[in-house]
Amino acid sequence: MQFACNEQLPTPLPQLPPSDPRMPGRVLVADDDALYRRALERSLVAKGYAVQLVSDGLKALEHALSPDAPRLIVLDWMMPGLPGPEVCRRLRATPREHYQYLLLLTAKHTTSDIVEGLEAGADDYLTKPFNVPEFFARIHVGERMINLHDSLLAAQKALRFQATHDPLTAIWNRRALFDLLRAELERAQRRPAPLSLFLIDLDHFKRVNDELGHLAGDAILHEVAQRLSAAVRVYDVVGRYGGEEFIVAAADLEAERPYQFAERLRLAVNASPVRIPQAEVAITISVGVATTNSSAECCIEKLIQTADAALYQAKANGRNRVQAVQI
Amino acid sequence: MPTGWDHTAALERLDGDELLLVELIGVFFDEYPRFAARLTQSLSQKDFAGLREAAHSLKGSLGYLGATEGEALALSLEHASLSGDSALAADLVAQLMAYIEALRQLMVSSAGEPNDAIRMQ
Repeated sequence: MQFACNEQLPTPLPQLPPSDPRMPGRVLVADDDALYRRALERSLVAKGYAVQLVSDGLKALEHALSPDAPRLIVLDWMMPGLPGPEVCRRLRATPREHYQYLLLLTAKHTTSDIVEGLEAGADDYLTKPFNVPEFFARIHVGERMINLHDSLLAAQKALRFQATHDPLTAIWNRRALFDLLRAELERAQRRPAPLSLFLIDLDHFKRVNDELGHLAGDAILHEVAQRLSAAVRVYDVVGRYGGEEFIVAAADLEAERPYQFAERLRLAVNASPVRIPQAEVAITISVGVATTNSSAECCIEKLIQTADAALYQAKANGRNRVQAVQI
Repeated sequence: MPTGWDHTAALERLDGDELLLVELIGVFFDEYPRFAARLTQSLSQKDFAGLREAAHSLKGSLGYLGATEGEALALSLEHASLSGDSALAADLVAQLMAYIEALRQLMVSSAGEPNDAIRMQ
């Protein structure tokens, strides 16, 4: 199977955010000094920030830990409830997906104090009394850090997606599929419960490629993956095994239900012709099903082998049909 | 009469926002009675921790407003509280409170139409 031109096909990879639309965003200011609270509020609001004001450390921690907490947090050093560095320490001890920039305000300025504050998890500090432009310079540093962190997360997410998904169909790729199958089988044996593996092959797919071209073939593979994904339960596994072969794994199907499940997949793919620019193509699939009963010794290889033999049987019996086997 | 009020420095810190400075002076004198009460009460009860906290807060506010002399007094009071020197602390509390009263007069007279300006919020 060739994928030379598949960049024209939809590839639903997560995109990097162009820039954070929340900047200027929200700022949490915690200071027990009404003067500083008011000065910071006024300056921040004038620049378009939304400000949350609190006057003690416990409230600051509570706000900063809330699910939709501001990412920019300004903490006074000495506060009732909890001192600023302790708020930093507890915030950093709580794993969070989104980085929060912590700016400590301090009247102290000996080296050991600064070290203590930064070691507690603050990103920076500002010595009181500070001036407003200096404060905003720190806030802008914070915004840069947050943006960098966000792009890093997005890049990581995109890479993780690329490493585990098939670029053409956006379903699990072969490597991820085997990891998931192994986990599913272990889970099934532990519970114990049956696990069914469906090996799916598009009928006469070579003809599609030969007659309509590989681009058309790619579009059809993409559509079949969509239809299969839509036909299974959310917790079932759908992946691309190879060229025009797909694998579905589903747990908890007793007696006749693996067969019925496979029929559902077969009908979902065949429900309507696949529309590609130059034609409408009726697609059928053959499905080989292997179901392991938890009590039996089994491995992924045996499941696939059995499903493969069943698939061969379905093909031999005329295609567009299901052959189910119990291990 | 306090000599140390660096109006220019205070204004510079606020990026030249005169209105904000006037408002902050108002905030300070709104809050001040609470601190004054805390100072006298802590002093009479020899509650040095309370005294130190109040002095620390006043130091921050006074420093922010550019009241450098008051900031220095509050710092000395913080140190006296730390060392538990009640005679010195009593003296400094009296000085600090007198200073702040004088500062009120000074700020009021230099703020143009003082009462309105300071009370506007």
